[in-house]
Amino acid sequence: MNEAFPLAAHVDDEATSIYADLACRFGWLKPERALSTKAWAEVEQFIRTGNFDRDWQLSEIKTMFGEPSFSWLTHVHAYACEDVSKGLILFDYAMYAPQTPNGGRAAVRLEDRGDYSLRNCRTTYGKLKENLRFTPFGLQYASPTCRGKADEKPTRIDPARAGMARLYSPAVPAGCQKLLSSCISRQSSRLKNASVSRATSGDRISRPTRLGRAIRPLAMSEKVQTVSSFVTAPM
Amino acid sequence: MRSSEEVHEHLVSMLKSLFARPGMWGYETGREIITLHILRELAFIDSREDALEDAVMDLRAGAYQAPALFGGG
Repeated sequence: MNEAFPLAAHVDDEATSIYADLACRFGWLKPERALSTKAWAEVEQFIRTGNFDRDWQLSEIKTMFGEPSFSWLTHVHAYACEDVSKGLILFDYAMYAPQTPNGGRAAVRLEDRGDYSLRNCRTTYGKLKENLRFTPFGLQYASPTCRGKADEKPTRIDPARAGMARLYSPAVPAGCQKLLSSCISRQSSRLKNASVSRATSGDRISRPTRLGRAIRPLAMSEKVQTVSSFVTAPM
Repeated sequence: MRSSEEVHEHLVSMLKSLFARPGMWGYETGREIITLHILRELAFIDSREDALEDAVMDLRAGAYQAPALFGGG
């Protein structure tokens, strides 16, 4: 899953949704709302032939297909059929926006804006490769392979987002995390020494400047956290 | 001593909790071990261990393996 969505902040829900399907098939989990075979076919038709040249919001999906079958999955919404042997159709929404003005991880969660943006949809049956469809918004989270597959049809990608995707490319050297950590610790110690020397020498520093310098290491540490999330081994 | 129905119910509630907040159940491999453990316990109560093992093998062999995304299988 990490390889499929290297730019997603985390893929915990996506990974566990596979086991949710297994538990469903064995009858241990009962969907709170099971779709009729006809309604299920409509959802399936949407993910096969629906318009994925545009972005979709959670509210639009809910308007079309109603509430998801399980209320307890957070940003992965599943639709189950009455016949549980059919599997699940899953809609993965983006919890975090990957782009920020300073290049770090987004501080504003999309859910705080009132609506999730659809990243992709998939099924728990068949090959993931064949059943994964990204929205233009979701493409920025996709692995190059998935992106290449999705590029077979015309898509619209915001250049700024594409640039950010390159910044967070999974082709980060393995030692990157260590390097960034050492940079941060060096910068922090330099900052500490500088503030001590300034305090002792009596230099006058304006408050905004000092604040600005104090904030910078925090932004760097955020970036390390994001990078490390996909440097680690996939499931 | 609790009955098997009660144990079953308890395991299902654990499973729901795991799916609702997976981040609280460890990271990747650890969480996978716990999930499979709960599923295997449930299968044991239902006497469906073989069916579950087959399903898990199918899962590992094909559909959701990451290498499948890269043409490996």
